[in-house]
Amino acid sequence: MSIALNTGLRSLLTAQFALETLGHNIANANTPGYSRQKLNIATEMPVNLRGLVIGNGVKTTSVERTVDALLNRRIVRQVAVTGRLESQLTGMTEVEAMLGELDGRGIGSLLDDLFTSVSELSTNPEDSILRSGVGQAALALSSQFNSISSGMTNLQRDTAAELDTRVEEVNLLASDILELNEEIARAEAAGVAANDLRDRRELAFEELSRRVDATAVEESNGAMRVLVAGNTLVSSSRVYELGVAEDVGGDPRLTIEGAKGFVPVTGGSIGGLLDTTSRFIPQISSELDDLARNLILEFNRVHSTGVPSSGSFHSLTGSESVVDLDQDGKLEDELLANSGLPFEVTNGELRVSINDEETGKVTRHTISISSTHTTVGDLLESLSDIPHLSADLSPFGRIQLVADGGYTFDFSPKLDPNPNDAGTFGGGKASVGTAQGPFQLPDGATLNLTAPAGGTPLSIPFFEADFEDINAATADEIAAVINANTDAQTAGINATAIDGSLFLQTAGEGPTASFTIDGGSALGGLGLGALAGSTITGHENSVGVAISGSYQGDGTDVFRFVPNMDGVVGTTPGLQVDVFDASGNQVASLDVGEGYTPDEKLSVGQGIEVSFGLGELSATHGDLFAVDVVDDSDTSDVLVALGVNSLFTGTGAADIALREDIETDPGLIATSLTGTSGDNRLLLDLLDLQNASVEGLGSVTLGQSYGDTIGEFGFELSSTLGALESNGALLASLDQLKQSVSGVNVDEELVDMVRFEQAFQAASQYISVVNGLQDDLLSIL
Amino acid sequence: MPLRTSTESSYARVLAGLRVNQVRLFRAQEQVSTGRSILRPSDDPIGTARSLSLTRRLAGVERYRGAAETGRASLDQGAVALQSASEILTEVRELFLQGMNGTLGPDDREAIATEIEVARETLMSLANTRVDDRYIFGGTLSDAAPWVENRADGVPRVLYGGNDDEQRVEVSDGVEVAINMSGAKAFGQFERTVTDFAGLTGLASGITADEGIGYEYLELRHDSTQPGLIASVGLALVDGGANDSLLGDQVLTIDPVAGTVQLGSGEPEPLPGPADAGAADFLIRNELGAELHLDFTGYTGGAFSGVVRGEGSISIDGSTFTPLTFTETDLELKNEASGNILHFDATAVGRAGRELVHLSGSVNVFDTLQGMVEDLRNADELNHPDLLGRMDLRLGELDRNHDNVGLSLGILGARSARIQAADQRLAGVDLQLQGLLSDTRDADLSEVVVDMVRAEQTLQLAQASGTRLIQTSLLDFLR
Repeated sequence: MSIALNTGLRSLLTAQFALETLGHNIANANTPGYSRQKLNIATEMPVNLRGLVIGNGVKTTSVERTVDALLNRRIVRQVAVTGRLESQLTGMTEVEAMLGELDGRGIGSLLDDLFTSVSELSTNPEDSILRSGVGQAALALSSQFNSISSGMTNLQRDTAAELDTRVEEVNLLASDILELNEEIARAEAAGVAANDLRDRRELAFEELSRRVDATAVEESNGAMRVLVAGNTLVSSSRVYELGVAEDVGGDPRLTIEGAKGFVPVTGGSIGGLLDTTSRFIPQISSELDDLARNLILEFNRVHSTGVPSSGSFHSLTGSESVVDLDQDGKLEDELLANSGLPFEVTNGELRVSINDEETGKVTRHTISISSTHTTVGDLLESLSDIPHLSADLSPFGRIQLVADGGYTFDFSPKLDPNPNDAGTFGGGKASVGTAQGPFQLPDGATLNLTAPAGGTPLSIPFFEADFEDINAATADEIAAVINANTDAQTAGINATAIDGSLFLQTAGEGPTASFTIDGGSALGGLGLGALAGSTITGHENSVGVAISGSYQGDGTDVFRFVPNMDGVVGTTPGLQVDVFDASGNQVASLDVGEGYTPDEKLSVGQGIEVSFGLGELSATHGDLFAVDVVDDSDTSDVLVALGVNSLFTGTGAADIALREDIETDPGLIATSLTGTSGDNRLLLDLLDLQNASVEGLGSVTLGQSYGDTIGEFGFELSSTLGALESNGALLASLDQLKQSVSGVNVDEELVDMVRFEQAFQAASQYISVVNGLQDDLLSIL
Repeated sequence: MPLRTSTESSYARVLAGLRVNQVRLFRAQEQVSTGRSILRPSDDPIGTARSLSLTRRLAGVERYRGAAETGRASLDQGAVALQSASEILTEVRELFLQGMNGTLGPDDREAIATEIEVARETLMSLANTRVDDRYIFGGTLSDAAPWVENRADGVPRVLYGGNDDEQRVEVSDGVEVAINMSGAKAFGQFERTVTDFAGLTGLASGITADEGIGYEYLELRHDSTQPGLIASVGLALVDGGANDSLLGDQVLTIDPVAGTVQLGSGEPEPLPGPADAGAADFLIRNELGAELHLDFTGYTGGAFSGVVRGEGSISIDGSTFTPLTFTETDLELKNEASGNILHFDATAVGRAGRELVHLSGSVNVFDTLQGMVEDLRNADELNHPDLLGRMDLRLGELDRNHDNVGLSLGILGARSARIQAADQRLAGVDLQLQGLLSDTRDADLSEVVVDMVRAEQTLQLAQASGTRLIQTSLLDFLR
């Protein structure tokens, strides 16, 4: 009977425990991380009553969490991926907003705006409002670069700060897990299932995984060991804290206590933040930097050789400073290629034009620049050697160029409008010229002249010491010797070198100016042997030569103009002027004899026109003039490097700016090659940049390069978004699976509640029946 | 589908459903309100790259079209000026033809001269037309008036101070069109042909070519007359030949049988008797109209054929005179003020006077008109046939200049048409690009609206079903 009573009691208790468990479940239906608990019940060991085995009712065995450990691990892994993607996306979205493309304030649109303003100015280069428009557009473009660049810096800093926060959170979560480990171990050692503690620990681990991808191993005592990239974060006894340190490149990296070197973390929000700071931001920043740098380079290359509509320069100061890299207190000895200048100086030539403001005469000087040999001092000296120009360094290491009063200078590839100023081509002076040098002269060779004809003879000697190589004497060297000869000076004989040919000339002009070539041992070497004994006289009229147009060809060349015979312009039948390029190929043959009207323009080709005035030309006396033609007057990029006559200053996205003095005076914007107000050729050259492929950007145009950057960035952002979406879906379905195992369904619990309520009632009824039976028995007694 | 769901997951599912549909509705609404389907690069990276490239090309096209518009405006302004100039020149030609009529009195000619002077001023202001502070006929020297009256010696001559450089604009890839017109081309095209002489004195071109532009007056002065052997028939010079104008060797022929006297190839005149009135100062002219005054009072009545020689000198600037040698075939004279260098053949010179030398093909329209005014005023008091020699030269030059104005007008028109053609082609490209850009970047409104409505409906359904789901609970029945 007592067995029956016990059976009833256990039944009652079981129902009560079941109700309590489901009450706990209902109570925690909305608790994050809660796993449904289940009361396990079993039949009690039967009782053997004298061979009769009687069931002994029910017993509760345990309260169990319903969990699928494998599923939980998969969820944790996915959470880490989501954490990473989410934090990556934060950075990217911010950059996306910063770039502001597609709404008209991005770099792409501003670059288009700059070209548009240049195009507008090209249709009316005199208009000062349109000129300001170019300045404004350049300013807007450079400011946008600056603001993106500083935005990137801020984002980098914010990301680093967030990284610190996340690492701190990981350390806190790790301590939670350690504490829970101890409690669980204590409880389970006492034989109690620590269901709720385990739920909490799993939740903490999931949160930790959202921040950093970690793995968990459960040890025999129930403690959870947490590993980050193979390094222990939480052991059974302690937490090894995560930290942030910078690597050699200044990028933040993760460290962990007790381990050497950096911890390679890629997952979780920390992995995402690390990716943002050390890969994503630097990559897009460097692409923008490259774009800004090449933009500065290409625009300045064109702009530096231009002339503002106000005319050529009286003075100019570079915007880039030369740096004393070898720290010897001197700036002049630095190589141009290694003097801290932001842009590379290459082997090439710089052409400087000096303009006489009164006569309009243009004198062009060429300076050779070698990236490996030319020092800052060499350049200054070469520039200062140019008549009417002086160059020095400011205290800040910036180059300063100043022209003498009455002169201006520029670096334009314009043509010399008066190439025959020496009068070596049908000029009024008595003049005789040689073929192109070099010349082979015997040491001590003499040139014997009488000047004027019938006057006092003179003899000019040439010695080895005066030449670098007297067997290959240049026209310049010979001219220097002759001009230094006092007898020649007294007799009024000058020498000039024109394109490698040597010219002997009288100082005076007209039919009375004359000299006789008497002979001398130098005559053969100079190729003048045929003229020995002849008298050269000047002319009444000097042939006026005028060049117009602009050179349309490529590269650098020198055009030599020589007559084919002796004759008078516009009069002698068959008289021609032949034009040869530097390699000796005939470029043109111009009819200037009978039928030619003096001063009529003739086309040489390549955009150049020439006209000849009245006068006598002599092939016998070697008449010639030369015009040097260039398409780029600074092939060395030295102007760009020094920031002379530039449009933009700076070296990258962070510091690109419109040249300071242009900002205040847009009149300094170069528009022309000649400084005449309506000349817009430089603007057209600037416009060509819109379709020019830029070597430094992988041979695409500036606009394309930016488009590619945005395209790639968009791809990355959208694929990250896509990954996040699909990952979210995966996580949701995993979560659902988890919920289907561990989640609480209130309805289900209610059904159980009804069930166990009835079981309770039944057990009570049973006890009452057993009790009644007992009462009946007792009443018998 | 799991076999079991928890209460939490049904709530979560309802929530997720609402969220998804709300995002979809938001996206659709955003597209409807902006009209764009791509609002940020991540919306559609390929579309973004495409739309950036299209925007760039579109900006280029619009840049070209902007340049074309300004360019055409500039060309049209030039054309308007040239059109007016052409009309003025037509008028001037008619006036001048009237002026050439020999029956006109000096007052009538002065009136015409004044009108042409006014026309010249108007032409000057047209040639110095300014648009937006720039002179459109000055080449690239557009900040100063290109045509200015400017000669060292104060002779009213107009010189071109501009250049022939073109101001080009790019109106399409690689297509550059000049939008200015060199004033020298329009009003003073240099196409020198020959040096023409009005034919007053018998001066002709020398051997060597001439250099220069415009026209010059050469002053051929009669200094003295060498009577030769005229005394043999009792003739003498009047006042020692001071009033003669013959130059060079002229044959004087007296034929008493025919009763004529003739100088050179001039008209034979009836021989005067020694006692006739006027015999003391008998005037005879040669074929050029050079005058020789003879005193016939002592005439012996004999036949005569001998040379009478006029000595003289020549000047190009009216101040420096060089003695004339009548065998000279290549006499060089240079006018320092104008820079012109001319060469003359003096062998046929027969008369003193101011000879007009026209460097034909190089006289600009203003100087031509100036010359016309000078002719009409006839300061040299030439007789009508002599004057016509000058006027013919002017008329030829006027017609040439008029042709040039017309030609320049044609060039401007052709350029304008070229720009228009390029612009029309670009207008097509513009439309096409805009279409492509719109296809890429803009939302298809009908589609988006349908999407939006669908999202709205789905959201409402989700809300309805969700509410249903979370409202049903066993609790409702456990009573």
